[in-house]
Amino acid sequence: MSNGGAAAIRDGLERSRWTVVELWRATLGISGTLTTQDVAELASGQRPSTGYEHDILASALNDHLTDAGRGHPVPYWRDLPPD
Amino acid sequence: MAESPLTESLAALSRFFVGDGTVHDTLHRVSDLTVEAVPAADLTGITMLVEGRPRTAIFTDEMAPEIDQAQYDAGDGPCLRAFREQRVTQIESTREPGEWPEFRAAAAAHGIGSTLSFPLMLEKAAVGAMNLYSFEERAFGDRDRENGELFAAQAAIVLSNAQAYWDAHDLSRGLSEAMRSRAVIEQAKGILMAPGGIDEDQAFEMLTRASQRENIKLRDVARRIVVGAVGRDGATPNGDEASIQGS
Repeated sequence: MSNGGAAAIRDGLERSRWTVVELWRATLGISGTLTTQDVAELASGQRPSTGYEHDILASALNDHLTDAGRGHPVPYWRDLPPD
Repeated sequence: MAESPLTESLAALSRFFVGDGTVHDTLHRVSDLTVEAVPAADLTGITMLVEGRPRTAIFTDEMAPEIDQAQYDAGDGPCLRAFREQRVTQIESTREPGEWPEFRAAAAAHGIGSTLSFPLMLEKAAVGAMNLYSFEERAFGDRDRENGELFAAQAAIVLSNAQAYWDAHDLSRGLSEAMRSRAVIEQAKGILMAPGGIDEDQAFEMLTRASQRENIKLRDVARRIVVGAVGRDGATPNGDEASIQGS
């Protein structure tokens, strides 16, 4: 993920005050099939994500932040700047 | 033959089933048993990280957190030293000058004469510190240090088991909720894919677009689609579905 996707996910984690495990659990609730290791690697930028993987993480974070009245601050893949 | 306070406290600790109470309950029980294990202690507190900062999470008397606040404010003190450096730390007299003057002054102002702090060790890492306070100066002797160390070692295991038990409990509950929410999203994706022309990833993207546009949760978008599809009798998409497909 070279277009800021990992940074966006990390920012979302910070805003939500979630751990990687909490984010992973939320992705399961929205049809994700990532493992905790996947989530850790994608959030740290250790490996690039596909658009779908990024959107699963962004959605899980945005759903949580929407509950807290903070809208959709984590950009989806389509909203990230091009490489 | 009567058992010693330490033996009785250790036995009580070993009988404690972590699933009978929350982590908070377990900490309270450990805190109470600590005073029984080391009778020279008049009150006790347990320092742990709360939201990344050391706090006196559990105590047997309101005085303990008030006294400890002096060391948290100063960034150093006997409990923090025990926690960070993983070693037993003692103040023989709070009324005599020495290290941590702020803590000594706060303790003395509350009538505390001496303190003894033990790291709560799990394998090679400290998970907190157990702090004993006495109204007497030089209240804690070698035997108290030995007993306290023995008790702290057992207490750390109980606390860690309680944390693991409740983490697993919370995870299991969270997973049940996740599975319920997942079903409706899978169903909505299926409904969007049914007319043909889009794959699963594209169906998911359509859901995220609607969720973002309307500033609502993904599963609420999905639920609307499912309810709409179940409620209609023809093949024409309902309003929600059509608006998502057109987005």
